[in-house]
Amino acid sequence: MTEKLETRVAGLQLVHPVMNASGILGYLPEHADLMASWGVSAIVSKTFTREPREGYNPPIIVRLRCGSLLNAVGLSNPGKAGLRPFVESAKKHGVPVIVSVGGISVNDFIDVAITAEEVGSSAVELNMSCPHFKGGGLELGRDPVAVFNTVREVSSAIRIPVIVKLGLSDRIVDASVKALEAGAKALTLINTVRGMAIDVYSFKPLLTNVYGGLSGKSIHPIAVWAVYSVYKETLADIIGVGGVFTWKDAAELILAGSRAIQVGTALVYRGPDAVRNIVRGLYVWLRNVGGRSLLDLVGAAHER
Amino acid sequence: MSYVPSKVLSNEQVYGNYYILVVRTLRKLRKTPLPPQFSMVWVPGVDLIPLSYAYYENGLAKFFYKVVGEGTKSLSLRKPGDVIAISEPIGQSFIEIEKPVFLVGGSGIAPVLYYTKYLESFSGIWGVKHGELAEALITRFPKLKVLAVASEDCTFGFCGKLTDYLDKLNLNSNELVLVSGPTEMVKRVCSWLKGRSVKSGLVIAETLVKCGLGACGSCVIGGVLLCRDGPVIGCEAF
Repeated sequence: MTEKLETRVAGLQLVHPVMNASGILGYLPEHADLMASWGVSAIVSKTFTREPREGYNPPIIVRLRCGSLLNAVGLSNPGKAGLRPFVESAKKHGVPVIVSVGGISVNDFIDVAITAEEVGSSAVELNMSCPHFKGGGLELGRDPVAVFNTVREVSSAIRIPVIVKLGLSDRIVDASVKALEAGAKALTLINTVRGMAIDVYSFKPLLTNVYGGLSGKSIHPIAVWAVYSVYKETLADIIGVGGVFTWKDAAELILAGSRAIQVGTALVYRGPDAVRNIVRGLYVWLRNVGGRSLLDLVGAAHER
Repeated sequence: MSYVPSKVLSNEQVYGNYYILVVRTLRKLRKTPLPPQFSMVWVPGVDLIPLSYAYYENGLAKFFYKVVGEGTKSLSLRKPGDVIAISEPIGQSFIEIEKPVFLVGGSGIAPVLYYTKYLESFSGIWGVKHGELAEALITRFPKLKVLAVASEDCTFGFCGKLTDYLDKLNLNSNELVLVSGPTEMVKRVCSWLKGRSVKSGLVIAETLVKCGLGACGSCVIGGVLLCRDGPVIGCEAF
């Protein structure tokens, strides 16, 4: 049933459009086995930085009402030295392995991206949108000049495709255009949206970091808008992410312009079957709307 | 984790660094916890601590814990009337068992306390450093009496470590052994079990649990996520 769902993004051939979003597991070899068992078409690592990072003290992820999560994990990861064991474990499963790369300086990004290439990753996804990474993340990604410089440097340092993950900002279209001009082969849209929650009994913020990134159902319409807006301007390869719980959410992002989809929060709320259920639903949808191939429907919402 | 606000009813020092926290949840938990499930206990603004249930009935929850760091220290300072919060129960219950043999080290007794409510009969050994801890807990949970105690300070039960007494156990081939305790002790007991013919050797495992949602990956052990599929896992993981 899967040939109709085959897709291609940033030059990567995928058996279906659904991969995991960076940040759910993804930094230890054992994680890769669990992630592969979800049935994803590509394994996306958690963000790796040059040096190991402890991350923040718990609570780091809290469940909110309405199928959403708020997180400030703090990019905990074993540093670039942990890339080889993770990527080698992930590659055993026969799907592309995309390494999420984080940093503050251009050299941080280059260093981790080169290591990712050396250890056999299929592509890198530059995390320029984490909403709680001081000095990096969203602070870089909302500045089109910083995006251009970083992406250009990384793109010229490695041969594997560079994907750039951007988040909600008032310059998301500009930043996307700059990323593509600088050599990005695809964009991942969007990251979590900065948010906060307060416990009304103790009067304390729920997250130890006070604020964090909101994901899940509450950001889905924002993701649809972001993908639609950027696709309209660029016709770029886009990986849509944000509150995808069902095939319908995925289909919306595809019609807005996504060639692939990432699923994160739904894996917490719906469990390990979330990906397979979405893929099955997309197949039925494709048949019901008379589509021959999923790729025919990418951006179809733009046709008037 | 959506937390359930809970009022501290008591927070009693049992012995040394060991405490029993009793809370009343301000709303009922959606799921009744069963042994050896645990919850993430939130000390607002300080830390989030995974604690096994020692007891639960209609919103009244008890947790036995040891002060080991800043978070548990701060928890031990909470007074009656203070509000903390607990998560819904985490992990899989494991109660469809008959007459298990518990091999317990120190604070590994925490989940066993709740088992005393659900198991008709069980046996085993509990190794403690200080006999006074065993004495204090047995007073509060009389059903623990059936466990043999080995105390390193020789003030209660056998004199010595739990591992000194393993060879005195008469295990037979249809026995289910549940190991609970610090990792080093679990490793020793599991390697001892390897040569024995028991039905199964399982561990009520402890790892670093940070999110309790299956997302952060910090609790991965033996190829599974402890917060989702644990805390009971096979001895092979150790």
